[in-house]
Amino acid sequence: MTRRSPREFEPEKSRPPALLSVDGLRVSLRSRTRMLPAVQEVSFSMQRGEILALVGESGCGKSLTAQALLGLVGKNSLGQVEGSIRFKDRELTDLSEREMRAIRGREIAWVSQDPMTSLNPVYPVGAQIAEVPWLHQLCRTRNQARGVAERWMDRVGIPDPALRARDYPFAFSGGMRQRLVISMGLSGEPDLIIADEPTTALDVTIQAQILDLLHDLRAQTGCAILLITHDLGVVAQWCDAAMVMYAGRIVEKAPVGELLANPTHPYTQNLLASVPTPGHRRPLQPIPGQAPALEDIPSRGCPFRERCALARAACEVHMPDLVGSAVHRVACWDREVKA
Amino acid sequence: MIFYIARRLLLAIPVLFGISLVAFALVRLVPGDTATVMLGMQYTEARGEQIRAEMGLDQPVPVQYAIWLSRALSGDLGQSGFTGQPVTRALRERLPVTLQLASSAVLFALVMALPLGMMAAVNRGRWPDHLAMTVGVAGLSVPNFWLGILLILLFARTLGWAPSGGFIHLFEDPVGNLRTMILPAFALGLAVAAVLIRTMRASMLDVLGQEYLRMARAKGCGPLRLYGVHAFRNALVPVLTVLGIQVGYLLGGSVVIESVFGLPGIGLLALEAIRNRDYVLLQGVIVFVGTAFLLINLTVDLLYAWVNPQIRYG
Repeated sequence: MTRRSPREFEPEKSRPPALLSVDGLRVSLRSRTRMLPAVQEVSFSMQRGEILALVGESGCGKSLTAQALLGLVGKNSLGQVEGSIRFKDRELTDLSEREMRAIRGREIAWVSQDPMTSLNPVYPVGAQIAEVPWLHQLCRTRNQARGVAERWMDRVGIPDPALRARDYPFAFSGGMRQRLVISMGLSGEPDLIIADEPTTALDVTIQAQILDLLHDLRAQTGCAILLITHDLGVVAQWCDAAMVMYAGRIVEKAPVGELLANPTHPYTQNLLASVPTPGHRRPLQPIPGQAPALEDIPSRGCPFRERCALARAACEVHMPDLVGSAVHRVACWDREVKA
Repeated sequence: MIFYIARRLLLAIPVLFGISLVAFALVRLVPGDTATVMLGMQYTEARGEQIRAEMGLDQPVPVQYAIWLSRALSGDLGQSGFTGQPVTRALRERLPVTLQLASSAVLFALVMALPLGMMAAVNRGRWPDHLAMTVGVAGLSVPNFWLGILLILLFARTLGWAPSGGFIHLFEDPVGNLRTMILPAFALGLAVAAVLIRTMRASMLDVLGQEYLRMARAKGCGPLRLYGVHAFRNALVPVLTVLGIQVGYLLGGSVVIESVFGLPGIGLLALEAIRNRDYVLLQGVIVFVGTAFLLINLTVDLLYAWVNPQIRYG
């Protein structure tokens, strides 16, 4: 099995222009009385071929960030997206729905959380995969599109693709369905794949297969992957860099090796302390309390302060900025004081 | 697939047998018989007995049933006790009217309900939704005979756009046929449409919340493809089930509508048979309608397998 080769992260400036750069992204959801800030001040950039992890507990805004990148929130009455999303030198937030449609599936693909419900039950899987190259006019005929679908099914490891393409989703196991969903994402030959917890619904052994597959496909196609997960094991093994998200904000950002060796934000530290390590028997330390619900996120100060052992007066008043070296950044008053 | 159809057809046989048995017993509970109705004021015990003997009505009921059944199995449904016309011919003459009435009612209901229900779900809580739900409630609350009478008053008497009743055969005069059919089809189909609108709306709302629809959007599907291709076929599954049940209602409703509009269909034939205590004819009509109902349900189930591949080869 091929495993992640930890790449040295060069300073920001000498790198080629980013594939994706998100700046000050805010996503607000409309409640009955007011707009609730679900994602705040999220900024990051991704290079071609990079696997970036977005880590956090359920409900912290990971999936919403991903949907905002695809333009699937906002542009309706339910939500509002502010900030800048630059993708391949285009500002996605300025694009019309029609222009966005040309990007979805073709340039930014999405691999969803639950393979069991992500495939349309009433159409053969081959047709569902072929829909992507057909919709985005990568093929001139439907037959060609079907051929592309079968090639991708083969590449993601589905045996006998020409025959299986005619089967319906219910004839596939969970792992096979996730392979199908991935081949659906890849068949548009995108530059960025957003994989939203692609393995949460699968068995552990299948999880490893799917993540290996994504990893290999990254190597073959050079596409970048934004991997949303709450599993730090996945982050350690398959990702290049990671962002830790809490209550809609990014609190720490670093290359994976650095993050695991030197976690700085108390939330990251707590998160790591609450994961069991095979072979080491030590008491797990769950993080006290719960992540705040969307409507309980404090409007000022650090949202983690109520669960934080290091909370101080400053935490009540202002949210700290994300600061540090070009490589490792953290948003915590404790860290600022030390530095 | 072939085996499935064959099995369903075989299963239909005991059902039809049961239907005919119940029908045979029930009509004999109605007071009066063919002889009393036929003779009317001239009824005497002796003449009544004579007619009964001619028609075999003096035999014990189980014997009558056995005789009827043995003939029916060879395709002979007997002769009308009243007119002497073979029952099969009466059915053949009346069938096209009912067939056309019921199918245009279903067509009208589908054409109206599917887009309305879909629009209602997509624009949930906005005006298309309110419009569809209003039609849904109104269509269910208005009795079809009353609606039929109102339609006749407005479109036939006042505006003169359509005849108030009667039937012109489709092949004789297609335009005239359409004019005679449009009001009854509307009156019959509206209640079905109402039920289908609500079903379509509910199942569409369910489908719209599904993950595969979000996936389709993420693939770059536009609204037309999203709703028309990805959602529509999935939403159709419960609608078809309800439609199958509603067709049964249509067969009953056509009795009422045919008499309101004076359409010489199977429903009117059944009504005449009951009025005349025409046992043989009524028996024939009931078995025929039962068969039709079973076949329609089989068709619906086959359509069901088509929209939902998971139950194929069931």
